[in-house]
Amino acid sequence: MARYIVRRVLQMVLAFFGTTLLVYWLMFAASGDPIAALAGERPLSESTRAALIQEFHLDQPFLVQYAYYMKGLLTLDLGVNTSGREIGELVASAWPWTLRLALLAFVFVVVAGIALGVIAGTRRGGAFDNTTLVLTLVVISIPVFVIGQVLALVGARYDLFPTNVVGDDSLAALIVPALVLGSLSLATTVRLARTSVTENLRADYVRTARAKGLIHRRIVGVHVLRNSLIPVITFLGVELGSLMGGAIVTEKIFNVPGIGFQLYKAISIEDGPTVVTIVSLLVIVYLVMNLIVDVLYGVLDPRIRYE
Amino acid sequence: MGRHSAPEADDAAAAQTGEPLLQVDDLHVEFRTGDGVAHVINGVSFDLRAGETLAVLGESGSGKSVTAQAVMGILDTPPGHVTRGAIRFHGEDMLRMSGTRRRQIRGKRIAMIFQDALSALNPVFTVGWQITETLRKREGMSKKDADERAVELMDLVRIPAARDRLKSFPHQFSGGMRQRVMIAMSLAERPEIIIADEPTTALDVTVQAQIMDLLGDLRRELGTALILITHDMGVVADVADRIAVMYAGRIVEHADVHSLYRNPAHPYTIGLLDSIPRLDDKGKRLRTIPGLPPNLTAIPSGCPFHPRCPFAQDICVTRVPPNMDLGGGRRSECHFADRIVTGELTRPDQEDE
Ligand SMILES: Nc1ncnc2c1ncn2[C@@H]1O[C@H](COP(=O)(O)OP(=O)(O)O)[C@@H](O)[C@H]1O
Ligand code: SF4
Ligand SMILES: [Mg+2]
Repeated sequence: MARYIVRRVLQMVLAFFGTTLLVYWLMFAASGDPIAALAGERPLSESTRAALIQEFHLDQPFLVQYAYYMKGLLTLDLGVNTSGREIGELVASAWPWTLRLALLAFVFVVVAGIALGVIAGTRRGGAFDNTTLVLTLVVISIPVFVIGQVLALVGARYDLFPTNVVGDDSLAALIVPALVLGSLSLATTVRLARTSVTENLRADYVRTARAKGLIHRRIVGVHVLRNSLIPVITFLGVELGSLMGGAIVTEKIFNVPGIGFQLYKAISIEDGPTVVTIVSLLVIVYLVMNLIVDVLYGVLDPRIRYE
Repeated sequence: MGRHSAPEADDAAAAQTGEPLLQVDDLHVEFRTGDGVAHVINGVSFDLRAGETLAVLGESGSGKSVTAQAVMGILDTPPGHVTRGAIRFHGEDMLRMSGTRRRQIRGKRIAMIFQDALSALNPVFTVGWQITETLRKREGMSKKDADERAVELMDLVRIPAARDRLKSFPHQFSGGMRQRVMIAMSLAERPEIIIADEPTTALDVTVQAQIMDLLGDLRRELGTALILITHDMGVVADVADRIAVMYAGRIVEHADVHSLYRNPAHPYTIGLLDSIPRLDDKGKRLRTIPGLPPNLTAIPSGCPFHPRCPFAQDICVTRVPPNMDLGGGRRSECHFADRIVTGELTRPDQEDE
């Protein structure tokens, strides 16, 4: 187990440097003039230009620039963006929003996803099951930005719920965005849980549990559920990683000033340092979540052996 | 006849007075599926006395497992339905009991062992947890006491280093050890009857013999009655007292082990005996029963075995054979049973060889 984790962490480190190097390169080296890339549309004075060259070590070879940048990132000195704002500050103010939105969406996905999936799975072929299948298929086939836009429009039009989260600190304002953000995960979770429960209900160990004279509730709630949740929890772990970073569309639609929103803004004003920093952070979050999921998988399923 | 308050103490008496522990009477089970109604069990009757071992023998698909499931009350319903008959435990028909009462018998007083212990045990719980589950949940034992009992049970079924293995998972055992875990689990609440459905089919030959020995010893030591289901005639001879031979959802022959081996009274039994590999006829071609078991949605008229039977006459196609009493507790459902058992009628194709 320990060896496995060490190996996975090494893989993670490689994946991290690989991804960030790529993003860094796309942002700074791929364009002809990195200064122009950094500054975007703004005209620059000679002194600002010199300061930027100094700040980003642009007089050095590319790999050295990247190394300086990584050193800053890993020592939590995230540097400043093109308009001179501390990126660390920006992230610190945006992150809590994203975190709250993601966790709210996640709670919603976990609770509703597992409950609906288990109910549908135990009543396979029934009205509830069929309705669930159709509804989840609808959600899966409509892109999130469409669901989000429509809800935002309807909400604003009839004043049903806040559609502009900026300036509203209440958790209530985040409910609809969280539903939108979690909708796809929810639909997938429901289907996954349903299939898993259905399959496990047919397993031989269920017959054994029945032959032991256990009550039905215990057979489903303990024997079947514990097995059915293995793939579901694995999926949910990975989803939590993407929910934390994948909120660009939702945060944009509902004006949630989170990481995704900041990333969107940074991309549109071509603020290279911010983009690279945020993407690097998201990569770290995603990789760590994946590691946790893999380890969790082994805890949940004793048959998994780590080599 | 009232309920037995202390079944273990009463069993010896029951055996003497001839009160059967379990009486299956004219059981009918059908499966209703998209392809029609499969008549899987068509009038099965047998008795089981305390401490006795009854082997149920028959080709795959003859309805052995379904009979066991009906007795346990774990038939998949739908599609399976008991349409007629009674299953009496200590004289009381379990088919007419409340679900709760039935569940108190299931696993506690009648327990079951399944064929493939790897899939029959839950992969994500430790064997200790699984063995103690009913002790903790139904008997209200503390975890500590239940664990002690589990160690006792694992010792009883001869799992080495039992205490250290409580926390192991099923996949960490060999096939034979896993089947021992299954047996230990079935013994947890000291059942009066154990139904073992092909308990050795998934195992190597040497391990098969060990498990059969273990079952034989356990039933001698504990006095548990055993229904041993198998399609392998070779495994039952040493363990069983009586044998019920099943074909197409009926018990076609019923006899004590020795009589059945010496003078089979049904052509199907003769076919099964002829298909046991023997040391002394090395080189000789094994005779297998020609043809296939019948389609249970369209069972042949008359005697269901007639399309495959070397003894068949015209009457076999038109008339259902009676359940012929041959004396000495022997029964056979064949028009010519009385002449087959005496050897007066022999296999018509026998003379050629
Ligand atoms: N759950 C089920 N659904 C439909 N048919 C079944 C089911 N269980 C058993 N059967 C049918 O019952 C017949 C007897 O099965 P079984 O009792 O398992 O035979 P065996 O003697 O090999 O144990 C088979 O033909 C099988 O198709
Ligand atoms: S009744 Fe006829 S067909 Fe059936 S077993 Fe006897 S001889 Fe064969
Ligand atoms: Mg079977």
